[in-house]
Amino acid sequence: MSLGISLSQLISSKIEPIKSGIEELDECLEDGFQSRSIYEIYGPPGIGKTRLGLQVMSNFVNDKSRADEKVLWIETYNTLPVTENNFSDLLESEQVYRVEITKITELIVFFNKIALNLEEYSFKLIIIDGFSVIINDHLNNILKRSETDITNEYNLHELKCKRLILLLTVITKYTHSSGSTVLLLDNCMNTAFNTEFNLTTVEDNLEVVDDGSNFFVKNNGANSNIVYDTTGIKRNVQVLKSELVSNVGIGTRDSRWEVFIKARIGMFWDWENKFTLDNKRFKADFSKCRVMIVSNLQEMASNKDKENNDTSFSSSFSNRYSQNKGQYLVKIFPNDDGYFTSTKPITNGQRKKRLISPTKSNPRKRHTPFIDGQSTQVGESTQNSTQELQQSENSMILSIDTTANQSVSNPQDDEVVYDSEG
Amino acid sequence: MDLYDELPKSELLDTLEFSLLLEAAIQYNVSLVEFISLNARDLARLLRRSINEVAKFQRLLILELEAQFNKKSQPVLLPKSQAPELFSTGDLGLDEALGGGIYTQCITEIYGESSTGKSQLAMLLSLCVQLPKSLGGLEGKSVYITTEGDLPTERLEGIINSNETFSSNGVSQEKIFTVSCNDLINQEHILDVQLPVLLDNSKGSIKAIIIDSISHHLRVELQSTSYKESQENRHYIDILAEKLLLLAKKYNVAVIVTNQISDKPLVKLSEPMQQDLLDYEYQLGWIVGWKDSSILYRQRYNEPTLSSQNEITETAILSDDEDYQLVEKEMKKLIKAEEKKFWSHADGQNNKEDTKDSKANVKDRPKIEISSNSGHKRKVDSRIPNLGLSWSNHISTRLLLKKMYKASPMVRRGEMHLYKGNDTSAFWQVKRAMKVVFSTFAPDSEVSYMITSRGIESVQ
Repeated sequence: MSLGISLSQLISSKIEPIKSGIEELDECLEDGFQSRSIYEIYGPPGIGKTRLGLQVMSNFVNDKSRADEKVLWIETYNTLPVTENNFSDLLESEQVYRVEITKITELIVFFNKIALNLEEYSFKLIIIDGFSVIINDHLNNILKRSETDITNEYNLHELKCKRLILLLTVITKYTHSSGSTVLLLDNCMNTAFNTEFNLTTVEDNLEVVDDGSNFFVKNNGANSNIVYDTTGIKRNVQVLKSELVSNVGIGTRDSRWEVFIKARIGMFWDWENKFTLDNKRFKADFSKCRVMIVSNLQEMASNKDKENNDTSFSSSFSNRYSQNKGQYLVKIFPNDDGYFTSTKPITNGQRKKRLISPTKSNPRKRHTPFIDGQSTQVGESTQNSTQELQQSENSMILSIDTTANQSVSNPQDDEVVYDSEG
Repeated sequence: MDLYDELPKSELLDTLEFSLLLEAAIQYNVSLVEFISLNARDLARLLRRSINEVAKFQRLLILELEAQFNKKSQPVLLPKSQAPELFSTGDLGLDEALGGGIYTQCITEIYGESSTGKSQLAMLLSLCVQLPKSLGGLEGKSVYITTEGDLPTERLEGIINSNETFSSNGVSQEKIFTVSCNDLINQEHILDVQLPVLLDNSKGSIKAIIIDSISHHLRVELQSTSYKESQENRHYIDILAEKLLLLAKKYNVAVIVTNQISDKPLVKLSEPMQQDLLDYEYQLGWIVGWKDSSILYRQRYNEPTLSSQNEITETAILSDDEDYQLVEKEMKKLIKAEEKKFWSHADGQNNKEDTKDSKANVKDRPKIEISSNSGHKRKVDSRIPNLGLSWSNHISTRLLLKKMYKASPMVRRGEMHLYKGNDTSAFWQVKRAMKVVFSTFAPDSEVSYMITSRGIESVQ
């Protein structure tokens, strides 16, 4: 496949990556969102995908060294929520452009057009809010229009892969010729279909669960996703996946188009602190936080065949899913201005904790136990760094264990902290 | 062939010359994307039509695409585009929680159990939008689409009359276009045909569309028994939301919908299972706005634990229900005091009367009139809004209206012993709260409110 990139362009000087403003995320991404790359960000409604996109855009616009560069926001159905109360700095900028695109052909025509007129349409950062909606609608329209039963006779998954390869090729052409970064903000969908396993036919593996929400689940031959309730009724564990993966064209060969995506960032909710169910001392600390799961898709694909029996990142992540190399976990917190950061803003309760037991508790470890020594891990593909990666990952797990042990072996410590809050 | 979906206004659709070609495209599953990405030779082979015909069609198609898309998909500078506007709810507390008020160009969902005030809030908003801009309104008319009976005009009149700001600023029911739909067919017709025509004719004077409720008819009609049906339902919801969003953006109106709830009961699994961060059920509570203890409890419900630990876990996790504990505690105190009183009384009697009687009394354990079951323990949340994730993905703001029972001031003052009835409901007070579950415009928060004659007012 020709991407139409000249060699001189490939070896041209490195363009400074675009910062997300979240320190630890930038570290995972090798200093920020790289130029000539496509990233996917997905998560449930309300998690802050759009907000993250706006934050990246706002950082870009406020970066003095980028004063003559332009950014483009492509919206689908949801409007760009920039108002006088919300990211108003973007309203004053002369660098931000927006456009509404809702059809797949429109998107292809658009990217072809801007790739041909780089003088006029040179955007260093393009954010497509609701990219997955375009694909989803397209597939559904094809399904609706087709006179034959397409799920059987014409594999919708094949079609989806073909379409995504085409679209992402068109976008990649643009990013390479202009040296720009594209962020795809995608919805997520629930499915019980496990894409890790091969299936015979799609229809045989489906089952409808009527929980009033009109969701379908997929019934998997491999038993990893099936559980039974006490009455013996089979229930499927539903997992949230990017809408690009779990739409009507769900299947097992997504890796064919995923090669175009540099990294995928899933955003989810989780508890900030681990709950210990020590019966006497259980004291609920209901502070929630957002978690980003950064997956370096290339690195993961190349590590797929290798054995990995590492333990998981956190209490709730990947109990049933083997943890892949090239995946990182970052906890993020909104600061007072609503910007996401990886350091928890110090609240009153926090300060108290430190005052009460400054020597006993280790607040840094308590809140971000996963990040230690991570910055050097990502993306380096030499033999040495793989070893390094192995090592540092081990040490990372070690540090988690020690914190876990601490909280168990020093219940007094915890007690002091909680009391101070009450 | 998806030419109509991609280019609804295409002239090629009606060109007789290409009707056979379009039929071939349907037959061989060739879509518009192939027409713009493949060359004529490959296309002709796929379609089994002559290359000349295909090339001609392709040329015309590309011309048409450029003509239709070029103007529309021309990037504009952000400050020169139409930003979402907002109107105030007329209440400072609610506005603050909403990030200023209700925004145009997007969907605001209000969901909650029955009698929590969904329609009250929706009605209030249909009036607020009419206020002059100086008072936080948008000087706009509103459309009120009901699916359960007609618009309660008396209640609306009552809100207008009891609110000076409304009555003196020309807010009236005449500025509300109202229509009720009895079934899904009717609802589709209203949303697909009548509403766009109305918006077009009104030339920008309409600023709010209210649908009360969006899921009433859908819930009944969209029952799926097969994979295909459930897929179609998902798509139906996507299309519905997208249609509303396109109208909202085109005419710069706010879309406010109420949504009903369905139940998501806790299910005990025969084998323990630990939930994963990426599990739908693990995340669900945050998407629909359950309280923290319910989220944690449901996440842990099927976890492999020692059986003895399970109950401890339950009481520990659900211990955030402080008011229940308070009432319980006061109740115990009361029962103890009653018992004490009784015995001291009995002792007093003992001295005077025959010992036989008092012995009989000892055997007859005193019956305290107030039952020890004080009721209203807040249960584990299990209510979720209808229409699922497909719908949730399209809304910008989700508001949950809830009704809770709090310990009444009498209990809080520790004066339960003064109470002389046996009705435990006197220990409880209804408390209503609006929770901003998520919003593009504001962080999540919770405000208490009351339903008054003026509509809805926040309380501290």
